[in-house]
Amino acid sequence: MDKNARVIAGMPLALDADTVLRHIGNTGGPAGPELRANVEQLRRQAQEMLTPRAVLQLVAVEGVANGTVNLAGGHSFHSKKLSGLLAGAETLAVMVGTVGEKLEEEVSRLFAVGEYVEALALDAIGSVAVEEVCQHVRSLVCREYADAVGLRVGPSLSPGYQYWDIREQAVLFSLLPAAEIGVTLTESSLMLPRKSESAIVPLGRDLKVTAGEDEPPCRFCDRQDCPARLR
Amino acid sequence: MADLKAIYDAVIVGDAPKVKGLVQESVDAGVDPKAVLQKALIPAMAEVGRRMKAQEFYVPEVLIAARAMQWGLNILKPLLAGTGLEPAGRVAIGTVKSDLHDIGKNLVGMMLEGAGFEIIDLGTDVTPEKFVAAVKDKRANVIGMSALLTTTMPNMKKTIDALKEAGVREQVKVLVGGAPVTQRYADEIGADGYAPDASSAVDIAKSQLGI
Ligand code: B12
Repeated sequence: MDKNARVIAGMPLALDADTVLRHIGNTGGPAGPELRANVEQLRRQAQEMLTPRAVLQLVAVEGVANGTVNLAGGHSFHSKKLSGLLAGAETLAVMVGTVGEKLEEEVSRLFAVGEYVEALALDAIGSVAVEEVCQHVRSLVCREYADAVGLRVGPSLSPGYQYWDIREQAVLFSLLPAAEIGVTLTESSLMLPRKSESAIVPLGRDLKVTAGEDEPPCRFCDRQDCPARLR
Repeated sequence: MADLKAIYDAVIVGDAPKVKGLVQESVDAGVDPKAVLQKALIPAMAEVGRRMKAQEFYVPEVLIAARAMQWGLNILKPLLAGTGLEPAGRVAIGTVKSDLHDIGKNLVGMMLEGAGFEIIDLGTDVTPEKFVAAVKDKRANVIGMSALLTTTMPNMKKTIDALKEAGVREQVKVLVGGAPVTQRYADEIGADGYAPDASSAVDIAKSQLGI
């Protein structure tokens, strides 16, 4: 397996209109059709505002026990629930993905001039875009690493969800060169550009908790009221 | 005599160009701009809020109506400036220090403006000192704080402490919101109100000010 971090850029983004609309919430009101037309148009324009890129690093797991996940290089994650989800992991595929900040700037501009609907639609497109970036990397991990060597694949897990304190973003960022794709982490654990996402994908022959290549991570999040929720 | 009812209806269906045209016609015909605001635009947004609660409208309809209201308001604002018209309240709204998320905050500001509040948008990464200054220098009587991350939520508490220290806590109502914020957290830090979305933010702002 690769020792070096891998940068993946320019992956194609589908920006599926239904997914975008789901992010916005209930769109079954009288403005629904107009909004859909808006989204259809904006998703094409958005392509030029997006610079999808990700950095991927494989990190060996040295031990998972009782709330601590020890990694090669002396790093460790701390979370009771996370260590449960990582039982049996040998390697973590660690990733950060982004779509850059051009779209954000356009969202702010639209809001400032009172084009609220377009602003919200474009913002949702940006969120869907970065999710697609990370899904693309997840698929690549499944196909190019896991399947090739017969490892089971776990769910994509991210700091900040109920099972994992967001402050552990700092540990995650020490595992890979996120600056290579222009993503930085602030002291408050905020990634910039805002439309960025970080995740780990556990891999292992004896991995206990597994997930399909395209399975959304909603199963591991208990936020029931989320518009983006898939099940 | 221009038709306030027509303006009201056009706001509700979100026809911005129509609202703009009708408002312009009204003021040209000598209708009091205050009447246009208070008898057409604000009641229309209140009706939009009601429909949202009744689940006839969702966020997209509200945004389209808000934009239409804004087009009308843009014509009225310069005319109202000298009239001494007092807003329903002055809300200084911002995303707390170290946080840069603004779409939620912007939606809340937009809805409050639609309800007749004056909005002082402090932007993002707003320090406690800036919130305090908005109360002291800009006469804000409501503070609205937004946060999207649990790591930046404690800055809400810090702002409340800063308001106390500056001796102005009693002059303002403090409202908080954002994805990770809960009613329980709001109670814990001594905020006056919490709302999970923009239209209930209007309700809570009104009830806090006794409107
Ligand atoms: C879309 C989304 C994303 C998108 C885009 C984010 C963005 N805003 O640009 C992407 C995919 C990039 C993303 C990334 C991440 N996200 Co995210 N994301 C969301 C999601 C699904 C919606 C957020 C959103 O934009 N909503 C739309 C806006 C309009 O809503 P809002 O900001 O909440 O505002 C409304 C209300 O809260 C309220 N309100 C807001 N402010 C105020 C103020 C006042 C005074 C009042 C009264 C009301 C009020 O009214 C607003 C309008 O209705 C939420 C979960 C959720 N369902 O809310 C998670 C969520 C915010 N994300 C979360 C996390 C963990 C992350 C990541 C850290 C994950 C990771 N490790 O990569 C990253 C961080 C990104 C970064 N830059 O650092 C967590 C945060 C929890 C925490 N510990 O802080 C959440 C809550 C999910 C969860 N289940 O826990 N995310």
